[in-house]
Amino acid sequence: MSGLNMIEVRTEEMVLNMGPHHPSTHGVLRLVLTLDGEIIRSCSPVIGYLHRGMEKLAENRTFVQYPGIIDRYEYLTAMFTGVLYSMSAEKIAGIEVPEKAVWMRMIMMELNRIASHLFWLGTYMLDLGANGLLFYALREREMILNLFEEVCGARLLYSYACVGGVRFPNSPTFEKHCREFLKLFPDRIKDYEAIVTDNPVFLERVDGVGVFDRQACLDYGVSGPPLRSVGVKKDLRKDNPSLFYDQVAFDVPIGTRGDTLDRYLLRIEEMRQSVRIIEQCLDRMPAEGAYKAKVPAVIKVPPGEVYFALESPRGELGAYMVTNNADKCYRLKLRCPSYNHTQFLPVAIVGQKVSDVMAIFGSLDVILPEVDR
Amino acid sequence: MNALLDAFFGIPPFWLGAIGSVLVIFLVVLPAVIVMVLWERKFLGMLTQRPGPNRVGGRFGLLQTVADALKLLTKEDFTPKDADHKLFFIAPVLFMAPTFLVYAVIPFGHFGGKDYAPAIIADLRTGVFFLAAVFSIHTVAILMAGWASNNKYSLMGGIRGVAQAISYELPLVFSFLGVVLLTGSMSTVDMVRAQDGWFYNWFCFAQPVAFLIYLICAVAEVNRVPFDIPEAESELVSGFNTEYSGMRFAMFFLAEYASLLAVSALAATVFLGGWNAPFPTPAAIAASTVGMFVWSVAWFTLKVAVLITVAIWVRGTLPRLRADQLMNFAWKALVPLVLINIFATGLLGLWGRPAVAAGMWLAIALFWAYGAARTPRFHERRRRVAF
Amino acid sequence: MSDEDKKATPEAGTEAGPTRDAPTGDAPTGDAGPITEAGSTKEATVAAAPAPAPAVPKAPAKPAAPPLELSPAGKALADAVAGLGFDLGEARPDSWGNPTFEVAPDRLVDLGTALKAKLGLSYLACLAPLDWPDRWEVAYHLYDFERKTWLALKTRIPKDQVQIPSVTPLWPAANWYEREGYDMYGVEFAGHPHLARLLMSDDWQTFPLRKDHPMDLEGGY
Repeated sequence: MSGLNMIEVRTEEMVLNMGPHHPSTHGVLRLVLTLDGEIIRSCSPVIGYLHRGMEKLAENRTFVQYPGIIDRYEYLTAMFTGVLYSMSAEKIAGIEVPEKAVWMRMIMMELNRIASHLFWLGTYMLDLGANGLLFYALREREMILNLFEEVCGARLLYSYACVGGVRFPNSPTFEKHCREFLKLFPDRIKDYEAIVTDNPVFLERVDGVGVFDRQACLDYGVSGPPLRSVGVKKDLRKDNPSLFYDQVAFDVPIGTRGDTLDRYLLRIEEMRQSVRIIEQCLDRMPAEGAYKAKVPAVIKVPPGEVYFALESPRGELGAYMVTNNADKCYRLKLRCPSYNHTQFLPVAIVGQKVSDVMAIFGSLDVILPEVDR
Repeated sequence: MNALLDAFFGIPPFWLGAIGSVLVIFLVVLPAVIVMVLWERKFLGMLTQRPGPNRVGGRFGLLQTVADALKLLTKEDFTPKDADHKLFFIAPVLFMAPTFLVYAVIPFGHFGGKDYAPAIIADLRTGVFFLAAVFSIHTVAILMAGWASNNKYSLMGGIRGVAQAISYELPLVFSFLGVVLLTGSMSTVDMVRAQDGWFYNWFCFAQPVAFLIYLICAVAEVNRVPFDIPEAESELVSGFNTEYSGMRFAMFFLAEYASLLAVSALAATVFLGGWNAPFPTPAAIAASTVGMFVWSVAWFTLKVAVLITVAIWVRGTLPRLRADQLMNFAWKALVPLVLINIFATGLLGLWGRPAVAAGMWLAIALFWAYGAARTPRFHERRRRVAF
Repeated sequence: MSDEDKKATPEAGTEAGPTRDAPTGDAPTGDAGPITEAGSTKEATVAAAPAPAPAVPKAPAKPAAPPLELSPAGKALADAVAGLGFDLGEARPDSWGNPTFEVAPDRLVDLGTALKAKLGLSYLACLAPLDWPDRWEVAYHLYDFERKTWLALKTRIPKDQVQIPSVTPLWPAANWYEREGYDMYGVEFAGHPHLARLLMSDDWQTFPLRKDHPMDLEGGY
């Protein structure tokens, strides 16, 4: 027969909007996905829902006022931004912080790292569907928050670090409670691993999923556990140590395959290493000491600039501070790791399936407040 | 049952069957679902270090489900703007109907006596066949709900739900076939009668592989974690029933729990000995009708409760499987396994049931040893992290 | 060029087994501030700030900044950059020892290409515009994995013409940073693939982080 025409079957690509209101986007993030069946063809994140003008605020609040606001960048790791801001100002002004304050800052930062990773673990399991693990992780986090409450009076947003030291002295029972927590925590980590790491369903979702390309990670400024999972050994606590990180012994785990399972394993291991760090800090911290240097009531920082960075649980948390001999900084640009990771997300998920989006996005550990600032 | 009830007021059996089914639904299923919802939330709370409902109705939240039902009843009942109204309306109904149909062939107990009359609505001679037919209907309902909602998330949930339901129906029905081979009948009552006596007569010992496959497929058919891709909350915000609210959502909700109850009851019937106790019935109880009825219903309820608890336990522990992994598992693992099971049952059954049991357990032991020898990789996983 | 590339790219995770870092008492790399090393005695050490008048909290005296110097890694990096032949002048240290170079906007992309190709600086950590009364500035911070320090590049743009070539083709990380720069300051990055507003809503008219922009806008934009 002549004249047989082939009918082309046309499939349309579907635009799916994982809208700002979504149980799993860890904040108010909008992902506009173009799907071909279950495969993602393109993704464009829309951010800005949580923009609060923190950088403008930094230019209009003094060095004494701003530490009260800076916790709000990364509310799960409020200690890091506080220390970052204070240390940037201290470096430009040449203010010397007493030794005990430095040790306290380190202890609080590492406790905050454990708390952040625990929260990540619980919510990541929620994303994957295992509702059971959330409260177990939060149970340990409660203990850490109680420790924070002992010293700072607050559980989540502390405004603990100030220019010159820390704002609050240690409570007399802090060390005792901290050591109790450190004694029982490694067993709890073992418990989590028992439930999760060998779970075949978890491994199906996570093993070999979301392998990152190494050069793409470097191009997009990915840092922290995602960068270490592809084998790049970059940890600012080792490479550019500040505080007393060069005086404590700890290891930095790096992954071998760059998939989601590696990032999960890295964070578990980092929790263990943080326990080591805190123990050493508690051992070496002087019992007596000032917790704050004598700084004037109105802190005026001479003109100067600095780019200072810390290793937060999410990656390289950097502050570019420019001062101009005023009691406020002239410009504060906070370089937040989640910003780069959210920008990297389309590169990571194009070509993957929709169900993997949450697994990959969760493994990047993005917090929206620091993306939007 | 028919003979017994014929003696009752001389009412024709058809009407008794009809009244009986309604009574079963209202006196058995609905209270059971009310208890189940509360028990699920309490037990999940226990598993996850939470108290569970503890406000409504005293410290144990006993009236929680009632409160939930009242809340759902008083919600605004709306239809999305461009939804397909007819399909939107029918979908919940069609989702509920097959669930209640399944109860028609489940024997809850028996009345003892020479007749050994079972308490069942309709003792069909093709009970299992009827079940296979009925299970397929709710697949259509899922797709209807997903399509009619005019919502991309619902559509995706509906499509995934259909794929999953179809994939897991085959192993579900085939897992019964081993038991059918051993009893020589498709009637559920015959299956329970064949498990009389001591507990080693139960088919879960003669057909362990089929029992396990049945449990997995049952959980998958009811769309529960780890197979709840159609209503995956963290991805699809409730999937195919996103747009339903109020009484319509209550119907989905009710039907899901009633389905769980139904498949657990089926598992108890076919594999766990139905109304039989683990030991032969004491003579004193066997003598009286009422005693026998209470005894058999009690054991049946216990077994169903244990199975439901196991299903809730699994929900609280495992993460969710991805849609393609789910279907891979069904087609590439369960279907071949269940077919091998039927073949092996047929072959070994030539030498009687004990031979079948022995053969099955031997095969399981061999596979376990083989797997254990080949799986150190689980522990190597942690060593993937270098320093 | 490819050899240098390989040398300068970040080291892969080829450690042989776990290596423990013994605690060292040396000065940490990249830390030029006098913060963490002094005051290790057990009694109360109250280190005073270097300059302000000690007894008069009400009158803050003019503080003097400590002398700045490049960290050893920063010095090595500055030498390497100077060796590229772009005639950038002396590296100015910032308060943490990172070298800062001043670049003209029209040579920025060439310098960036050379940095990426010859020194392997493909990691852009931060990109920030600044608003000075007499000029605009854009600061770029690149991280060197080999020497483990940051390199800061600063460009000056005249006040009336807020335009600068985009570095997104070089460093893809710059994509959102430049969009945010446009959004907040109105800096136009020529050559950017999609220069649209990022954080503010799409129909916002003003540029919030400019110094002449008030903190509160009455009645919206």
